[in-house]
Amino acid sequence: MIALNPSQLKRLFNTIKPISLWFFLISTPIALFYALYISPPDYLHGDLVRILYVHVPAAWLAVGIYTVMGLCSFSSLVLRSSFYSLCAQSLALPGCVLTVICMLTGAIWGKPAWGTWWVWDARLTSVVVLFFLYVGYINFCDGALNKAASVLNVVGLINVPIIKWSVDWWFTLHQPSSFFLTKKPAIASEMLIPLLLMTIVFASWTLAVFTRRFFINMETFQRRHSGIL
Amino acid sequence: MSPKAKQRTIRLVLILTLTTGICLFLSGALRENIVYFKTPFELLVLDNPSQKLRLGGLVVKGTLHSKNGHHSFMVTDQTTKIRVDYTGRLPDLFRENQGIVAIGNYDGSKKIFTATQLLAKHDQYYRPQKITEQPNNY
Repeated sequence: MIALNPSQLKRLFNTIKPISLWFFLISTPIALFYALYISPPDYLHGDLVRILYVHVPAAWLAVGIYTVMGLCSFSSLVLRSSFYSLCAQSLALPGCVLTVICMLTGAIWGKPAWGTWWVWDARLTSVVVLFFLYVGYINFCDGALNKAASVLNVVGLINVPIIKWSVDWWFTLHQPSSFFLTKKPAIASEMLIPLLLMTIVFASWTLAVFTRRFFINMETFQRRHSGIL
Repeated sequence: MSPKAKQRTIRLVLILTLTTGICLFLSGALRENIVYFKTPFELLVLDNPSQKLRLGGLVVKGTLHSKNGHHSFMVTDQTTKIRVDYTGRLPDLFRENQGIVAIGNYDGSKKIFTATQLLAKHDQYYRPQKITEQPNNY
């Protein structure tokens, strides 16, 4: 990220713009077919497990986007760069939407599985905090440089490890992680495949939205401030 | 103060208020909840067990007794077992050897936890049903 300069990155975004949309349009029916039809019901959850294919990718991306946003905000503050600030701003809405999807699908899953729509355990509460951080960021957005929102974004990065390890550090109702970088996942391969496909769907959607919002935002600010970038 | 400085101050104060708000919200919403439940061992060492609390653990295999909607089973954290009584419909995902969170009151003299609500705590393993497996429903 730091190795490429803004004009190279802008060219990259321009290239990604149509490709990401095609990825999204093609991967969605394939992923949905796999998730809703081919993949087997779970031994415990039955067909309810299919919510996992929306809930988990949304959660991964909600947290991942926030992390990337935080790094962009950090760069924008340090380098006084409106380019990186614009990157962060363009990621905020997709990230916020995915956080909401994560919470809603989680509640829909929780009611039949746990017996309740919601609990204030460490995992769920930290995700609500993430939602407020997104909303706060969007609210404080003003102009290309965006210092206040960027500071909030960077300070909020502390919440990311809390979300991730909440299920390990404290007793929670939410179960521990099923996915690890270094060992086998706790999920069967017939279920891992649709999960990864749905992750591609959400990731390509994010990139498609991001690249479009980036250039729209850039034009808006260029018109307002005549040539900051 | 110049108008720009005023604006920056207002914004900073807003950020700090928001951060404080979040922290207060967190400490309020979490309080006892940061650890969502007590284990059987922790329950036994409590000095004032009369208030409503949450007990979490695994359902011990072979300990479920049900009659007329009144259920009783043992919950363990691999070191201690506690008996839980519950009247009502068991959660769909209630299983032996799976996690459970019981919300209710503990009677220290009778050593029985009377639950008013049960939440099934499922584990992180997902796999298809084996052909020979029976779906066990309670």
